Amino acid sequence: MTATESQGRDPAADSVERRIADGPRGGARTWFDVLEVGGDVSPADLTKAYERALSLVEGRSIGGYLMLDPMAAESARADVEAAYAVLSDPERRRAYQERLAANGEAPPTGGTAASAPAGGAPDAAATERSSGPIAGWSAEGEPVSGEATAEARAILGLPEGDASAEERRSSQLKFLAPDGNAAAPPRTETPRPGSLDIRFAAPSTDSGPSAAMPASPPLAPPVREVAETAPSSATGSTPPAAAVPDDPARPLELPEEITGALVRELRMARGLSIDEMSQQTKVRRGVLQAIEEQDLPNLPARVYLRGFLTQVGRVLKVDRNRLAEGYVKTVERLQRG
Amino acid sequence: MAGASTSPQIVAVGGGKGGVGKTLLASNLALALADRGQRVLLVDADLGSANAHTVLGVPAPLTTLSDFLERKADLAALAVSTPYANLRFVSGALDDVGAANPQHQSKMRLLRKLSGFDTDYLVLDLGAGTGFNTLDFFLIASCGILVVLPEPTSVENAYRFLKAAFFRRLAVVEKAFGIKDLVDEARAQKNRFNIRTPADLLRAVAERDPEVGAQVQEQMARFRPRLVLNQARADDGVDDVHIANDMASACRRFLGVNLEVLGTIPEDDAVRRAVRMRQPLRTAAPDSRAKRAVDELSDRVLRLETPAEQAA
Repeated sequence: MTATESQGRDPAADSVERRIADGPRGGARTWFDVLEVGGDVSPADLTKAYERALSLVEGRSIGGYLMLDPMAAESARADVEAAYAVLSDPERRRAYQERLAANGEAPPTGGTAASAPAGGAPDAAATERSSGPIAGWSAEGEPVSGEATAEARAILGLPEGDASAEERRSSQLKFLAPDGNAAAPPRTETPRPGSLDIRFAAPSTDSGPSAAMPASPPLAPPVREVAETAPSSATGSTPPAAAVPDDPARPLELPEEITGALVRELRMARGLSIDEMSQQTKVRRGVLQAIEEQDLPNLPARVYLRGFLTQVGRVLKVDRNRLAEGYVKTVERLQRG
Repeated sequence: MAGASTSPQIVAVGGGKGGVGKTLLASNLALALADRGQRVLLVDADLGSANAHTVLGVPAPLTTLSDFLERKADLAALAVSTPYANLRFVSGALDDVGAANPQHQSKMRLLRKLSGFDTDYLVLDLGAGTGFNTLDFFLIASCGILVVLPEPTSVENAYRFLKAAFFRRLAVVEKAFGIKDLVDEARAQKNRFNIRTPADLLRAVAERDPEVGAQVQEQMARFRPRLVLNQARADDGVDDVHIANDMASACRRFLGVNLEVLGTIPEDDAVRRAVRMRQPLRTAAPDSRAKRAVDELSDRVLRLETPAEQAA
């Protein structure tokens, strides 16, 4: 098995099993996210995704060149090996998926749908390891000494205690902080329950209406065809499509506004019953129904709605972000009256 | 909506390495936004080696940011009109070496003034490097764009810039919330916590104090740099766009930095010609692929704002 082979390449590598127990330590939330594959990835696509991830971690592809210093690269490699070890083993994969589901997480997709905070508490891996700098980066970001808190708050767009009119205006600038946060003094905000996981790579769609410049629009990638074969979340029946990971294998032009009726139409066009959709997305049937019927009172909170729609988009093989954003737009329009 | 009319959206164009097309993108992007009916102020924040005026095809203004930094002129007085509708321009310091590294207070004053400026869009053309002055301009932007070329050297510098910006932002967050000690504590125990990446560090902070951890996480999640790949080639079945996608993917997965691909600008001789003519693409090469790519980028930047407006 490839995983163990490459593990043996470097004696400093974390043991795969230990890393599996720890969970992913890079930016990814789940093992699926580490390899950027969906819950239904085929073995062939999984291997491709694994090799692609390794080439990034090892800096063999230009895009990963010198991203990580040696220590961080080892850690990233351990993530990749652990992910492959879990996902390439049908038994372990199923157990892992069940655990994710039990934690109330939607089935993972290629790193795009990680909207809900992870349920699990952060691992408490207290194992002594060889020492080293924090990935060699700490020096670069050291704060300038003597810089006042007020200034930092100004940069973040947080209000200052006795701000002059001008300062207040600039602190409204919210570019780095949302309006919602502006009124809250430090350390009074209630932490989201169960959100101990410090995954800060929150997806764009998660920032909600409070962010000043929140969700990025559904970007059509400038070039559709990607030469490199990327892991696609397509099932084995689909040809291994060359796709940007975040992008559907088969792009389909979606309108600006997505109605529930359109979601249903797309589902029918894929020949899926609502139960099958529920099975494949791990989204409850009732929620799917509410989505298709635009049943506003029964729709989940915006954040979750986006996550669910992303799952639906994945199964429908359409531009997930665009589907989610378009639908949310419709809901917002309806709510405005 | 009231707030939106007084505070501009800030777009900063940076990228660590020199010569990757920061000024080219900033100038032409500013012009494209102006063409789309936005009131735009282009600020050449490349203090020390400003040359956006050349790319834009306007004479070097007599008053520059150094006049502002030395309190000789107000920012509004520096903003000169250009031959292009809706586009005003503030030049960076041209020859004043001292201005390249303004005093902290001066810089803060500039940041405040900029973010209160009465315009729709502020486009900041940043200098090369990862100095605090450059980083802080990058961090106040709602849309911080990193320009890279499809070359290892450029990618390397881009990562360096990203990490530096990430930790600069973290330092600012620490200060703003008065939690420097806590983060330092977590840093100091990097062995016990096995800290190797930014994600690890934030995790360790959360373990020590979940409440603060959540706050730091939230602030850091707002660090959402965007990537533009310049001089992208797509021939012989090799498409450079995969480099941009790889970078975004690697950042997301292994650094925990939410880098997004904003788009690409194709390699195009028209760009070289335009720069030599000292004209923006709109004038020198209106039908070029590069011009169209910049137009697309500007459309995307415009769309970034839409959700906020809807929420308001």
